[in-house]
Amino acid sequence: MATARTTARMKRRRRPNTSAISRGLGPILISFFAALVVLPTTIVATVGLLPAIAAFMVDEDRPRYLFRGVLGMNLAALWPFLNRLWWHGNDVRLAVAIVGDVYTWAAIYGASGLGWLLFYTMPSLLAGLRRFAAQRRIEQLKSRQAELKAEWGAAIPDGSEAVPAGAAGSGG
Amino acid sequence: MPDAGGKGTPIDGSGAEAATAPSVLGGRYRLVDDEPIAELDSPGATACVVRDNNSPSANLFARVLAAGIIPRKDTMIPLRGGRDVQIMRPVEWGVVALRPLKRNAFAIVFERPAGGPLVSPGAAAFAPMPVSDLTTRVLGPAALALAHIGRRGITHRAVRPDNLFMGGEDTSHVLIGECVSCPPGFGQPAAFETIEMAMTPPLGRGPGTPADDMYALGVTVLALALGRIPLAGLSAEEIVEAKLARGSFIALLAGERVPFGLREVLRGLLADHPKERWGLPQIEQWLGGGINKSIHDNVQSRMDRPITFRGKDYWGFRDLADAFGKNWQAASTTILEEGFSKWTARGLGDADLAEDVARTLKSARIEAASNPGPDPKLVAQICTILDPDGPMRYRGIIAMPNGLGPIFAAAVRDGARDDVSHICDMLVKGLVIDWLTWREENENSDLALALKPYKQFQQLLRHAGPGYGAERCLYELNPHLPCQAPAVEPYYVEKLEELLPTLEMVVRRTGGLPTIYDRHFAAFIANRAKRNMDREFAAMEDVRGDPVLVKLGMVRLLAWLQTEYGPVSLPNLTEWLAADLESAADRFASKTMRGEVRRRLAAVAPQGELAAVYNAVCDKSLLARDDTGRRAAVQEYVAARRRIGELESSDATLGARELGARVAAWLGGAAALVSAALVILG
Repeated sequence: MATARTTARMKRRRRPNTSAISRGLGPILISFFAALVVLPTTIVATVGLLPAIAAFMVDEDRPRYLFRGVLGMNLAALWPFLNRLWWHGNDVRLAVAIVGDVYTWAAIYGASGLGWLLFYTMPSLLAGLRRFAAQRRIEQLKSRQAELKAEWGAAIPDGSEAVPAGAAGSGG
Repeated sequence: MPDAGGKGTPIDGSGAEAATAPSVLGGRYRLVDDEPIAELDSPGATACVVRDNNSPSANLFARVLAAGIIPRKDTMIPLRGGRDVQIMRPVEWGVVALRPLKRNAFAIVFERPAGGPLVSPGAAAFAPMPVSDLTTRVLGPAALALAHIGRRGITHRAVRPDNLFMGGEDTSHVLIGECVSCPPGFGQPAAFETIEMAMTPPLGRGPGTPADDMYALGVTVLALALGRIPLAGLSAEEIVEAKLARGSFIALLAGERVPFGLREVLRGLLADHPKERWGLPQIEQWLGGGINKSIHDNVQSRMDRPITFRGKDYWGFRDLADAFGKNWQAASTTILEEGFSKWTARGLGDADLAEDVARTLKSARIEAASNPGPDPKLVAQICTILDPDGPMRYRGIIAMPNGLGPIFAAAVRDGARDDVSHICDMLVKGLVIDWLTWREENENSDLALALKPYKQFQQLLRHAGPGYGAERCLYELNPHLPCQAPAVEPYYVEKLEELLPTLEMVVRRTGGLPTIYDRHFAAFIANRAKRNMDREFAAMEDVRGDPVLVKLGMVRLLAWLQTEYGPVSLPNLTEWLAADLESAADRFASKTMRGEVRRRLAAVAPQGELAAVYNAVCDKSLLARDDTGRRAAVQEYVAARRRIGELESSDATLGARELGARVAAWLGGAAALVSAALVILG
């Protein structure tokens, strides 16, 4: 009796796996056939988006900022070539010509490289900017402290003195 | 009298300034200090000629009091009006600036008697006066005059041969000299004083009673009859000893025969017990020929065995009390001995009192066992029991209660800190009250009223703040004592309205004061203001020892004085105060406000208003603003310090990676959109 129940449960479990495969295959097949229908575009896009695909593969962080940045730059460089393809016949021959053009590669991979470069340089750049801003703020605060000291003299506690109760109410 | 009891020439400084013209009292009595009258000098005063501007023929002289001598101003007013009394009459008095003194002094103008003194001052022997003259020209009129003032509550306390003058146009009658130019009894030789007064130093004798005047009159009559000063050449101690041993009458005669016809009256006047002493009724009866036998000598009771103190045998209580008073530390030891207890018990007639004394001594011995050392209060109490009529005796201070004032003033003037402290002790510890209470019990007299001021003094002394304490008691005990603050002491400031003009003058002449804060100022003002000034003094006390606040408290008090008594402007004083109080600006924490206060001080200083000076420094709204600003500044400073700390300690790279990546992603997205837009738009 128990064995029968277990078997039934296993059958119920197997059923969703089957549908998942079928659900995943559907879009792939549709995409494949769509790619065949717009083959020239597929050729240019596939070759042109290789840097984004590579970024997708190497970016393991979540969210995928590297991928997004590289994809954005990649697309920015790709749009003009796609535009040329679509407005000049949209045939495979032109697609191959575009893909085979060294300038196409230079533009697409240069833009993608820029996206990659931004990802790696932007944190240092921002840290520097923040450090600079903090230094400016410290100088402003110290200048204000000097003004207060000059006006109020001994009434202002030295660094070694305890902060009076309730004195730290307002921010600077 | 345009200036009764007030100032004569305005006090304007030094002897150099005063030397330009003799001083004038009451606008008419010109003191000619170039013309002294040596024969009219008295103890504590020098005499000089006086010219009356309104009546050049008037025969007047003045006595100028030595520094530290306090006049009897309360007695002057009734005596000035007493034309019917044969006592030298004060005409005018006040403060004068005399050339040789280089200081201001109190002077009293008197009508000059037609003749000189009956006996030259200092003369030990002179021509005896016939008994008939003595009784009709001296005894009768003098007794009448003394009794007359006695009925008005005044005692003379200066009856002696060199203070009797030939008066009247034809020098036919005798005039008693003045008694107001020194404290009561101050000029009296011990021979002319009763035993208890002779035991007391001259400054501490107090006004005494009319009976004391009668005693002095008796000695004076005896001296004039004998043609010599009785017991001349003996010290006060020897005179007291002689009087105690033999009674005043016998002692003063010193073996001579009693002048014929004077025996009874002299016995009566020289009775040592005041209640047995003759007064005016007995003298008048005696002069009228009535029989009036006086009680015979009442020599102090003599014990059958003496007690030895400091190597000397004492047979009676009073001379032992006198010796104890002068050697209190040795007395403290003797008193605790068993032999003293037994000795006194035998001599005290009152069994209850003897038992009380024995009990007191027993507890004192127990106390001494745990707390060794002399006990001055015990000595004082025992002295009072041994000699109830005698003066108070405490730590070498010997005085009658109402003679404490002049002794206190002398101690303050001489800088005798110990004496000042002992006198304050006497008041605080209630020794005066004990003494008066003891006499009340002893004499059955009502002295409750006399206790009241001494209870007040106890309160004043327990309060140590300005306006109270020893200084306040000094002025309460001496209501006519001039202000003793060193800055104004040479100028004899005796009224409130004179204090500020004098300070103004001192600053003008010397450029400043040693200090504006002087406890004497506060005590003097408190005494003379005759109103409750606790509020003013409380403000001075609540300063926690801050010297600037103490000064400001005094300025506030003086500002009140200026408002109440003027003068309107004191420019020199306020200019000096403004400079002196510049440090008061440091009360403000804000540099800006300190500058503001200094500007205000500089602005109000020339106006001469003390209140303006005070308000410039103690503006409450400014102080409140300063306080609020200071708190806000501290808060801001502390918050800034905290923020700086945060900024300095934080890591700028922290989060920069995340943000940089996000920015890069955004830039990529933005580039794609822009590119798409450009492509579409063409």
